[in-house]
Amino acid sequence: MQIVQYNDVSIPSPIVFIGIPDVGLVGSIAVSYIIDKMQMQEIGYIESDRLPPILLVREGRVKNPIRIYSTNYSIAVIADIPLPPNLLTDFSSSVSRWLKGINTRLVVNMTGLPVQNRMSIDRPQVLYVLTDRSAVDMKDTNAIALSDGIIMGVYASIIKSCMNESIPVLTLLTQSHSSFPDPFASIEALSVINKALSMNIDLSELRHEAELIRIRTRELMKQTENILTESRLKGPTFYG
Amino acid sequence: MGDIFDMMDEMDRRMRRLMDRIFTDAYTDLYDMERRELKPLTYITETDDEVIVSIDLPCASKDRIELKATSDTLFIRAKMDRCVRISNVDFEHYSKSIRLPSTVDARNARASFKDGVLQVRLPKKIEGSGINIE
Repeated sequence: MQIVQYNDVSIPSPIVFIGIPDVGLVGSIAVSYIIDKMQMQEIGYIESDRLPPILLVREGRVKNPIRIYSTNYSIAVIADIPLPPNLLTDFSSSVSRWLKGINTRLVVNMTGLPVQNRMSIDRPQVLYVLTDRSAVDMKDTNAIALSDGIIMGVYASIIKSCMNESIPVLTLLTQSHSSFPDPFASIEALSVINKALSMNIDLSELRHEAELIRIRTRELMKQTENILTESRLKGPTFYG
Repeated sequence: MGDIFDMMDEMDRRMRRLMDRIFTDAYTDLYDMERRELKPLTYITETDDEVIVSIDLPCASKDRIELKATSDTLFIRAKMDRCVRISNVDFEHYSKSIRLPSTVDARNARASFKDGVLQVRLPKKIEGSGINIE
């Protein structure tokens, strides 16, 4: 797997947000919104001859499915296709080596925690796992530290690879629908990010556009669901 | 050694076929282009005595949903509050018939709708007869 950059990254020690399609598309929706709100610029992409031959067309422009964006102090990696299970290790180790090379201060993952009774939950709870407790102060957030459990899937792979490279990782697991896009879970995750990282991402547009986002991300949700089913990762990405 | 590389090549080929199928299936499972209707995402679970069908219906409202059930199929049709344009096609309706995993008693089904998600609970039909233990 190869990381192709259009421009050098000149940020001293960036925070990096990673959004890979997963349960409820919680991370994909959140990171896509961060890219939009922070007006990040595309600085590169990730390619592999083992990825399916897919290109996206957005507003008349051809785009790679896994792209890297940057602003003055942070970076985002976003995938518009689910990653095949046989590429997870390669993806995670390539990305984490690159993140080490650019002196990454913190990696932020956001994923869904599937719950059967999601319909009866008005405000989904956010749990977190932090590999280095000194990296972020979580005490003023509403998130609860996960004390015991097992994380599975793409984010587990990223956490492992980043730990091997000694990069701190904050992973937020937000209660969500398992098989439907859940932008309201993304809103809760981003609220925690706002407090934990002293950011000021305005979430009103995401709240307002949530229904439309759910329609526009149906296809990605279905593809992700199919991949999770085929790779027998369907069900919780977390046990605890 | 060659065997390992052959195996890896075969795994890659299988994964590529799988990915092709996943992308094609996702498209055909979600759109009826001819009728310009969206087929909603659904999620089905079962308990010992119920089949529970969750249906994702963003941009739909409760009073515009038509729901019918037989002993083995659930039919849903809903008008959206607004027209949504996807790939240059305008969509205004959801429609889908959902094959149920067990025979149900459709007359005693219950449904609730919240935040654009419809949940239908259909009691399973109890078949056969009880046997007395002497």
